[in-house]
Amino acid sequence: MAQHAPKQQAPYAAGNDVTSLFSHFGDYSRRATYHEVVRQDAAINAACRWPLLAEIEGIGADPAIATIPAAATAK
Amino acid sequence: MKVVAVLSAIGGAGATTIAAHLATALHLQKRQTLAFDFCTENLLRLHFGMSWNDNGGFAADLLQGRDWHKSAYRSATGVDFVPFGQLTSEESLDRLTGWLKEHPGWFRNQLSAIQAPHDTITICDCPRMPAALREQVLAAADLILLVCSPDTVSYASATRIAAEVRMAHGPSTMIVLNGFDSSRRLDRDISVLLRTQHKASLSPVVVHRDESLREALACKQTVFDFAPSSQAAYDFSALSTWTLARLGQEEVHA
Repeated sequence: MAQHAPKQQAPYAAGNDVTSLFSHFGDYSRRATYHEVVRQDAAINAACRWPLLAEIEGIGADPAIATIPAAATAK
Repeated sequence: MKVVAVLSAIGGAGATTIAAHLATALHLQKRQTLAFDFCTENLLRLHFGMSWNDNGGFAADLLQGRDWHKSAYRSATGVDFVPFGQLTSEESLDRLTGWLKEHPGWFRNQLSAIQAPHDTITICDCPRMPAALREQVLAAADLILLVCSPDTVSYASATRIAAEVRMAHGPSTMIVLNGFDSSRRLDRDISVLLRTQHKASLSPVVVHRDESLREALACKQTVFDFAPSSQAAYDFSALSTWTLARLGQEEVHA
């Protein structure tokens, strides 16, 4: 009976999240910096889920729903 | 005497509920406490069991030149409170705000003149408007608790007010998140933003959404009587302990 060959283990590769963490805080021995980065990312994620919150936090506005002054529409 | 102003970031954020329960929690912790209502809606009294039809309060007394101290009441739990009272017309409110504008330190002076133990804590339900009433309370306040509900507009307003007070070198201002429900995503996100972006001006005590609060008010009680084992009762006890510690810090820094 043919035996199924065991799946070959993929070589270890740093995921995107780990790579981005290294790019964020560089020196991995500085734990305080790491915590700060994680908190900052959590805040950005929280704000970006809600367009109004993102605007309030200055992260960006959704141009699709932006208003224009009424005077600009007058013919 | 220490004065805590409880101010809503936007209408309906829950400042009156927090003021009533903070005063009661402090009283239950054996602190000499006075609750003072500066809001024209005159609702603080209902948490203390005052009759809906009783229109007594300091505003009318002040307008008519009577001694406002006689407008003080004591709840069944033993909390002393001064209701705003019912004014008979818009014109009466205009006269009151006009008079208060001409006497900007009136409330602070009145509190200083009260014969009360020096460690008495006055909890004020502070209105956002009219400005003349708000400014009376803020001029006397040692600490402002800015009540923020977990919604976007309340968050924007609370963080803006806290920054404005700080820029104006006003009293220490701390945001209290009220009505938090961890099962709601927006609540969690507002909480994350407050804890990360505004940590220095955020109370570590969160008041959770609890149906006991609405039911207690419907029964003319605080949750300490109506549902002493509730999450809300626990939260307000914690808030009063933290408030005492915070007032102690303010004293050290003064």
